[in-house]
Amino acid sequence: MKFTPKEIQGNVNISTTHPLKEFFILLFGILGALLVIYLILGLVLDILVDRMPLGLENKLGILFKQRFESSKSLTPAEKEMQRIIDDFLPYMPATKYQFRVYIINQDKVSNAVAVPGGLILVYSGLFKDIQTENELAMILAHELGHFAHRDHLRGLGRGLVLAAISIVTFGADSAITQFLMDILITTDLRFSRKQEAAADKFALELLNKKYGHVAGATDYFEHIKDKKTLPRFFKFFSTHPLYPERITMLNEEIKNKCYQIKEKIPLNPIFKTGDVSH
Amino acid sequence: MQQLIDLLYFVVFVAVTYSVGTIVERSHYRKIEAEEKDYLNLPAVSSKEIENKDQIIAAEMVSGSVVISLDYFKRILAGLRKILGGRIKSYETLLDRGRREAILRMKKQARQIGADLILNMRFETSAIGQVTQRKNSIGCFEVLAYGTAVKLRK
Repeated sequence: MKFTPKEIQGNVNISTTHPLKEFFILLFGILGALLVIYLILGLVLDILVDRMPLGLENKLGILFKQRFESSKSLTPAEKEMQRIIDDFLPYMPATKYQFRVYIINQDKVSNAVAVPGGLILVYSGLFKDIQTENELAMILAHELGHFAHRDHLRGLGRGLVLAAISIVTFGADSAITQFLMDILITTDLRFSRKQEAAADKFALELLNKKYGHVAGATDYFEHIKDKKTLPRFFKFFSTHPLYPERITMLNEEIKNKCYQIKEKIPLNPIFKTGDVSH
Repeated sequence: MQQLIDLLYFVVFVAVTYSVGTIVERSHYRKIEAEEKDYLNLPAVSSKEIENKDQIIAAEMVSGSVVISLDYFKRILAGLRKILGGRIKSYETLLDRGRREAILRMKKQARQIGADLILNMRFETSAIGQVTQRKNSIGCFEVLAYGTAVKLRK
C-alpha cells in the first residue's frame, strides 16, 4: 500500500457560526428571559408584600437594627426627630410600626432612607440643606409614607429577586452579574419613581393634618435642586423624580387640595451644631 | 453614572479582546496551515505497526506539547453558553489550534532525528490553572501529542 500525503481542505472540528452572532443571540436571549422572570417575580412580590405579616418584617428589621442600634441612648438631634415623628402618629392611619430614627454620620450624603422594621436612617449631610422644622417634617413624613405604602419592602424584595437570579446563574461577583445588575436596575428605578411621588403626596397630607398648613414642603427640594442638576439623559436612571418635577408636582397638589401656607417653624439649633450623631 | 461607566468599560473590553483575539487566531491558523504543508511528507498515524517491520531501522519516542489560553471574549461567550448548554463553539477553535500545533511540534522533533514516519500517535488534553473553582482561574489547556518516530530502510 502506497501512502500519498494529501492536504486536508476545510476543518470539520470547528463550527462555522460567527462568534459575534452567537454572542448577541445568547446575550439578548438570556437578558430577555431574566427580565421576564424578574418582572413576574416583581409582580408576585407586590401582591405578597401587602400580606406580609408585620412579625416577619420586624424580624427582617432586626438585621438592620443590630447594625445601627450600637449605642443605647438617642442623641439630642435624634430625640428631636423622634418627637416630630411621634407627633405625626395620631394623624396617620393605624400602624403597628415602632418608628425609630437613627442619624448616620456622613456629611456628604443628603438623604433619608426607610428600612424594614420601622427604621428611618437620616444621613447627617441632610441637616446642611434644611432651614426649618417644616422641611425636616416633610422629609420624615415622606419616609413614613414609604412605610404606609410598604414601598421599602417592595424595593427590598425586588433587590433580593435580582440578586438571587444573577447569583444563581453567574455566581456572586462575576462580571456578567454586575453587567446584568446595571441593566435590570434601571427598570426597577423607573418603577420606584411612582412610589416616590405617592410618598410625597402622603407627606403633604400628613403635614397639613399636623401643622394645619403645608409651608416649607417644597423648601428642601428648592435648596438642593441647584446642587444636583443632572443632564436630561440621566432622568431615566434617577430613583427620585427630579427636583423641579417634584416641586411642580407638590405645588399642583397644594393647589388642588387647597392646602394653606402659614408661618414656618424655625429649626431646632441642635441640628446645626455639627455634632448630631453618636 | 458609575453603572454607565462600568458598562462602557465592559463593552470596550469585550470589543477589544474580540478584535485582538480574532487577529491572533487568524495569524496562528495561517502559520499552522503553512507548516502543515511543509510537514506533509512526514505522516503521523495512529496504527501501532506497519506491514513490513523489517523496514524499521530506528525508533524513538517524540512528543510535542502546547499550552493555549482563552481570550476574554471567548470566556464571556462560553459563560453565556454554559447557562443554556450546548456546544461551546468558542472553545472549538482553541482546542483545534492546540492539537494541530502540538502535532507540528512533534513532527519538528521527529524531523530533527531524521524520522520518516510517526507510529502510534496519541493525544492528551488537560485543563491547567483551574485547580479551584475561583473566578480568577487562568482558563488554559495543554495539548500533548506523542508517538513513535521510526526511520525506514530506503
